[in-house]
Amino acid sequence: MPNDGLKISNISKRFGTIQAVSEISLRVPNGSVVGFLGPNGAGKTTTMRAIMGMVELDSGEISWNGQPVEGSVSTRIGYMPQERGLYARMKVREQVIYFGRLAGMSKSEAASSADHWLERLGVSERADTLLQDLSGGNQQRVQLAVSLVHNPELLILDEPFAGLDPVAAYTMSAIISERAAAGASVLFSSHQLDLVEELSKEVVIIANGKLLTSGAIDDLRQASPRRKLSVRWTEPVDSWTPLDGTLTISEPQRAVAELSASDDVGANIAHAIAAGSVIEVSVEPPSLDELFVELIGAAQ
Amino acid sequence: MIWTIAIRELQTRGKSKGFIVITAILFAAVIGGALAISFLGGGDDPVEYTIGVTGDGVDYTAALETGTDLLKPTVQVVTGDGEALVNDGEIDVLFDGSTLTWEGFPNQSLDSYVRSIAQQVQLGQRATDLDVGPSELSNLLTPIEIGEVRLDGSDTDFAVRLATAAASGFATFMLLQTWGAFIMMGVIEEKSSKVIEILLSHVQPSTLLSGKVLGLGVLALVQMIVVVIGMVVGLSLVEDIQIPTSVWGTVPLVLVTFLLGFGFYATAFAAVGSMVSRQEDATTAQLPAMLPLLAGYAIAAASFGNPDNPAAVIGMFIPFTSPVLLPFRNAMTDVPTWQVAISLAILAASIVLMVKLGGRIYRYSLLRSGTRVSFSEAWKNRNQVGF
Repeated sequence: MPNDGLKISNISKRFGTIQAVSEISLRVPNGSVVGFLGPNGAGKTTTMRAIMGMVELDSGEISWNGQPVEGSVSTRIGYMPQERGLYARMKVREQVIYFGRLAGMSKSEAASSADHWLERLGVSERADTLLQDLSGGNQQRVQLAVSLVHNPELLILDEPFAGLDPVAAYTMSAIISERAAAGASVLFSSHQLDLVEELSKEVVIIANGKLLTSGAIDDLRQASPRRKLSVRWTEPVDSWTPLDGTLTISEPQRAVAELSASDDVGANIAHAIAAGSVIEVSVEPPSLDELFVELIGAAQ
Repeated sequence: MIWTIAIRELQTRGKSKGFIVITAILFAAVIGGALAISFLGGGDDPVEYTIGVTGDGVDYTAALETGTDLLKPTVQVVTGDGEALVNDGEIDVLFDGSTLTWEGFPNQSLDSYVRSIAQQVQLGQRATDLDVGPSELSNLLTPIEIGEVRLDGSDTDFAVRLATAAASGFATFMLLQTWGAFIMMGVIEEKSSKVIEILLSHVQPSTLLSGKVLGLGVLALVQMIVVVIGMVVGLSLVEDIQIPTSVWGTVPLVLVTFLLGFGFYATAFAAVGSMVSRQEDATTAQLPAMLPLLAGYAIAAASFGNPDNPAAVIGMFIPFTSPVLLPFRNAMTDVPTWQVAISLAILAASIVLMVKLGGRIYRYSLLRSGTRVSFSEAWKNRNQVGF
């Protein structure tokens, strides 16, 4: 498939005695946002650096729209590394233009795009300021401008929300969604799973360098055998306990229970109705947060 | 892409106050040096001295007043306490016909002058005692002129050779060392500020290294040319000094050797710089690149008396020392053209090897943070970027 976006097939990489990445495969179709999740040291950064050609893989392949990620293809990628950094004693606008030029833009293209992104990110007034004279938050915005200046068609963002204030985080989310709507593929890692759930439909979860699961968030949640039963009564009830599962919240008028696959959900609802007048009842699959903790716990 | 990187390096360093100030200081220092040489070699005006004569020394008064092109004496007959006059600085030296009395360490030119005049007067006196007439005495004392023929046709005198060798060797050493340190600090800055990862997402390590070496190489060459121009301007201000044409013949060789030496050493300094993550470690890190360069300079400094000694001759063919020793020996002695060509060829070929070796160390070490990368670790993992 020539236009199937980013495709990572069975990549492995060992550093000395440490197997950083083992047989990982994932896909980021064009126009989609995929969240890349895993605990610290899981292999997310190594995978992202491998996409950028900074890691020579022991095995496996990485392609984008059917082509290897190298040469002119790599100039169409916007990369934000986990460890941020730019030239401290270079002016903001000059810096953004410079990175645009390194990505193959002409001087005028880079200048016009730099002005656009600095304006969009709210740092245009500091365009002629040395980077080192900006606040940490504004330096982050410039970092983002550097990743976007060449209007990349593939965005690889390693912890893009780390260190951002809520306003900047909102702008970042909006830009990620816009770029995807414009046809770009976005792969981003984050520990803020609420943001991941909000931005992406699909996630890839890895741990210890191995793929744990991947797919649409809804599908993964539904596929979990666990369910969360929440009940609210109109009047206080006497210490209600579910027929199966584990009671996680117990209040006079409210209770939450964790049920497993073998538990009878219907019988438990009936048991709650029998205890008092029910005003609200819901059965939910685990949230992304809970699913993540469950998967990582099982992997370790 | 290489040019984009080179131009940034050029603009960042070239516009910096440090570069402008250092270049201006270099220019002024070279002109000052040339002027100093002229003063040491003999200025326009003779130096004035006062010679006190007493006792038998009074007999030498007329002869002592003669003076030379460099020395204009005033002779004062001392009747009182001559030593007090010496101590007070009223007279520079007291001569009583057999002893010279100084306040401290003798002034060498004045000492030689007085002794020479005394010897002439005494010789004249002895000649008179032996009935030897002034013309016969003059004939006796006429020095024998011994001419010289140089089979290779060179016309440069030793002093000019010495000055050219010292200037070209020292300037090459200084600028290679200074710019090597600049490149190394730039590499460490890119590592410590973490900008390196963004850079590597756009360009290959070899492209980044080439751009840096090219950009800073242009600036280094500018400074080298400033040194040469400063030398010319300085010497042209001194009317007495005629620069032999052979000196100009060495200028292109000095510049070519410098450029090749820059390519070699800039890569080496970049490689060792990439192995550390903090500016504080720079001093130790630069030693592997710095010591061979220093060795070349030390050999040159020890070879002024004998530029054909084995260390200087062999060092001229070793790429670590040839950038300093080739221009040095070429100025000091007449190096055959084929030896110059071989030395340059070895240096040029070594740049290719250094770019391969240094480039791989650079590539592996760039993203490695924390403890210093060892040579064996960098070489073992030379085909990848380390973390």
